[in-house]
Amino acid sequence: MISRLNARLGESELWLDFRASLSAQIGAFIMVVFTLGALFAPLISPQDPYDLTAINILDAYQPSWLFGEGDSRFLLGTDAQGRDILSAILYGARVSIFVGVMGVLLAATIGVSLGLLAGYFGGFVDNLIMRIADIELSFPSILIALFIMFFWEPGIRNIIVAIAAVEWVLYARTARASVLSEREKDYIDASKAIGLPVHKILFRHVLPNIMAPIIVIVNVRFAWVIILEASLSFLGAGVPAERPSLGRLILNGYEMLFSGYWWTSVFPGIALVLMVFGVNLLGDWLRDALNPRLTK
Amino acid sequence: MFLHVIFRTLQTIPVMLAVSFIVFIMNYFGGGDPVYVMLPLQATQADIEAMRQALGLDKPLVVQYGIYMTHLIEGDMGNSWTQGRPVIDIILQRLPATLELALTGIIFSTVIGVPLGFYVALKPNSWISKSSMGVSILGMSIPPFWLGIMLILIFSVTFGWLPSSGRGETVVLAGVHLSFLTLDGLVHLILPGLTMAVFNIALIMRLQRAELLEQLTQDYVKFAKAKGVPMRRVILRHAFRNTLLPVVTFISLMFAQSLAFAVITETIFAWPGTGKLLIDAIGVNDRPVVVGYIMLSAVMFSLINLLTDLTYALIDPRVRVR
Repeated sequence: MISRLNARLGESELWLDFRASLSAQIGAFIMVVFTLGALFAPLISPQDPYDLTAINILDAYQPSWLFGEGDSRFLLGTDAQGRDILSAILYGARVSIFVGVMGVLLAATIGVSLGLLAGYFGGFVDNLIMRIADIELSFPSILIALFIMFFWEPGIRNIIVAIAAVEWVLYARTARASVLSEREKDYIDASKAIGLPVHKILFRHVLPNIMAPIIVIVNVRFAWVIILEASLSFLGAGVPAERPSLGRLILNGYEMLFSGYWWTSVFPGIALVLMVFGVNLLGDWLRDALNPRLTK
Repeated sequence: MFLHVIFRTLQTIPVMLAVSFIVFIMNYFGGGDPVYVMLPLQATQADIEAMRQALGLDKPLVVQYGIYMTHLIEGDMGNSWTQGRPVIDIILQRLPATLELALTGIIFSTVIGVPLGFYVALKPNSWISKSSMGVSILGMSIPPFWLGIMLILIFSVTFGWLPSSGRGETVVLAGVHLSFLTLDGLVHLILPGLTMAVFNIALIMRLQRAELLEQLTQDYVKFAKAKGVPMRRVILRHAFRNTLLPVVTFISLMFAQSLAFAVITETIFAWPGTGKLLIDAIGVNDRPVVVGYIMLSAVMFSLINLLTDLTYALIDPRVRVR
């Protein structure tokens, strides 16, 4: 399969660059593993830890079978309610990735659209959007997110909205800056001369040309959003208690830390770190690979 | 320059007004009805109405906002629903602890990050540089809250070397409790400080490296070398100095962010600061405290941003308003 992929993409400079970079491949590999694991969580996990009928409180506090003398059913041990940690990690990763992807997509959609409008039309529209962006940037993002979650109930949809509300600004600014430089180019004049409507100019012509920095930002922020969601869940302001979340798992583990039940905190944390690490590795490579100094 | 100061300072006012309005709107429309929180279950409808009138909650939205703002200007943010004391007193009392924590984190980050970035830029092929760059990506991938828990697990639970909660002994200086003046206090600062610092060390290191590398490609470096200036002088006295501006600006903005992100560290280490106050208040739905905290944060954050921008403009004349 790799060789077929190679044949199709073979000539592409980006692909060759990717094949040359070990760290990018490791990052991509980690991301693929986690995505598949999360996607097929119900099929591959030994237990559905959030189905109340599947867990048994008598199984609680089992140490990991791999690192302690626990039950062989629980490779990474169980938490205070008898949930298998490995299963909980798979389900939690699902939520993390889902919230991350949705949050970033929403933020990018809103941000890039607003940035395009601001950059292209300038004037009042530009001023308005940038003022709002400045106001929002002058405030620590975690407080905004906490604040939003405080006034709404915890919930996955609310977290996604809160994340988008906090993240859109970076996309808007970047898109706007790119549009400002594209605006002067000849192909825009040509499009206007043949009478293309504004939305076509913006979305079919300008947008593809400014995607490079946007893609890099998407990647970098995806890593951060995963951490943000976990942090919010850890503080109790994120995913509600009955839904899976790596952050909340770590919170449960934290509460048991001094009794010696370390595995509930350690393993979900390692999973989180690995996931974000993979995304960051890929993002690091992507930023260099898509750097305009190579094309200009 | 003076014009720039005026302009910039004036710019913060609409920002704070906007924040206060948004906070107020969310307060008004979101969350539970405050009257029900404050009255016992047996309260009658008449009691509820009386309470509502006493709190001024029956007036139109705009009027309520007006009253809110008038009080705000005087520094009155109302009383905490759980402690009964004025919100502003509660927050200010706990602020020094958070300031200490944020400052410690920044000091760790700077002391480790800047020299490391410097070194990595100059000697990119040494094993220290390669491992630092790799570790920095890892550092950016570790969620701060998990790092704190792991530090506690290793240093407190397993080895018992360092304390895992609280501030330790404090010394009162001008009415303010400070813990870094006692040995016990310093020991209590180590783990929380590290937790706050690790993520930022990675960022500062990479920034310092990138900035220094960029400076070294500049023409003036080539001219200095051609002139015969020893490399050490070129780097330290000229290139490094030019990197200080963006790096120091970044550090001061990071400090502002740290004040907010201390929320997480304070929760883990039971650090009696404003962050823990916020989380506790959210937990018991103590709205005046939450709202007051947000407002105070807006003010602090705006002030730090303002000072940073002004300092930047002071040093770099290109940034000023023409």
